[in-house]
Amino acid sequence: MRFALSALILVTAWTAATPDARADESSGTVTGTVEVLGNYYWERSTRVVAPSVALTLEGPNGGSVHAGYLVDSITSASQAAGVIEDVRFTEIRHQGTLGGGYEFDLGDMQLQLGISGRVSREPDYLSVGGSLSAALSLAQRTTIFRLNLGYVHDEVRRFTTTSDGRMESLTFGKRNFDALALSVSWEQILSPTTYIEVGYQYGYLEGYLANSYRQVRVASFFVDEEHPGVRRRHTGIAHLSHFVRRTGTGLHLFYRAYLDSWDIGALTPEARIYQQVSRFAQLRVRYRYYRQTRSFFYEEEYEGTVEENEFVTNDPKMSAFHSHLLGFQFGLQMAFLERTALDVFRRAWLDLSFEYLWQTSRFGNAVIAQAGVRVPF
Amino acid sequence: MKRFVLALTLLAGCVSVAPYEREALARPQSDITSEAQAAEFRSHVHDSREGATGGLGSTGGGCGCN
Repeated sequence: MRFALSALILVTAWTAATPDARADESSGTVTGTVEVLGNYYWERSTRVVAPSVALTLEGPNGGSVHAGYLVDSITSASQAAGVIEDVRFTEIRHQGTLGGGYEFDLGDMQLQLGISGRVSREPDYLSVGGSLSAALSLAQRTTIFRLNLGYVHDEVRRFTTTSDGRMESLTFGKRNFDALALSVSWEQILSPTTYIEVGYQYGYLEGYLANSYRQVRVASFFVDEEHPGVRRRHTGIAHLSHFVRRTGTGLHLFYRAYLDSWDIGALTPEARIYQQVSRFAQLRVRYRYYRQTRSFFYEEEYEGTVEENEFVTNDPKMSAFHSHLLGFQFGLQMAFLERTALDVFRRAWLDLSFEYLWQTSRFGNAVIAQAGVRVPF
Repeated sequence: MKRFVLALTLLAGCVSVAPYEREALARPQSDITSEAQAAEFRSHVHDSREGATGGLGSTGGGCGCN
């Protein structure tokens, strides 16, 4: 954490100090945003409370930096929802992210290069990842092509209960995995009120991809679930945005198509309406539908012997199911604080959201709630 | 699909929207990048409860919720 803080200070200083001017050329100052967000997730067997804070800075030279910290408190009926035993279990996860970028002005086009890293740690799990990104803007940013390469290395452990009742983490053999993701996307402004984005991502995962706690019934035995050691994922996305001037309405349509080497195919259409309801207030309505097929090795229970079933899982997210999500968000810009003692917050936004998820998988229905303050400066 | 890609390519070449014409695209109703942090948590929730993931930068993994 001390290293991350030092790196943040160094990159911030570099962002502010580099002499040639660009991003906020008129004032020559550093601009940015601080955001504090409270996240809450509830379902029958799991509760998650996850406060987070994020900072972004943009210097007048074309440099930018972002940093974030999140802590997850996960209380579950068991360490993996869906396992046999019913033991209430609370686990804390810490996640830190740090990144930076620089935009090169090439005359008729701009090239932005970025790098970021992430560390996520919980008592029985460590994940370290990073990504490199490039964005090429053409025709005064009417067209933007993006390329992103991400890598993740995860180390999986399993808690066990000692004879005196303490929980301790044990390694259990070679239980790591690595993931690589390559993304390309194209953003295109189509008119003064409409833009579209299309993209594709290829993901390759190799290693221990199962849950270290979940067990499966094979004949009359319970055994650890076993997944194939490689998973190839293909994801295509599209996003169309249109602004209706007369009503002050933003319409957003999203579509995602997914297919992987475990025979899971999924479609995810989503629609959002952002409506300006007063000079400083905005309402958002979101609907998302999700449907997937089952993986080729998913069963509730397996027949035959353990040896006859190479891959076994009863993970609900490997089953065929569908879900509907309906959500509402209310955003308020705190312009009413202008010329008061809290004038510094007059451009801040207060956001509150509530979303309900109906899903036919064994996880059951769920609630996602968020509350946050975003302060631009 | 090929026709769709071809149409978009031609469209990209034809469209020219000057920066001063993009006031509507900069409004919070159009530019939704400001909710990136909130969207990241929602994506994380979906990633941990659904078989599909990706397309928006996530690779899968990153927590013990496989």
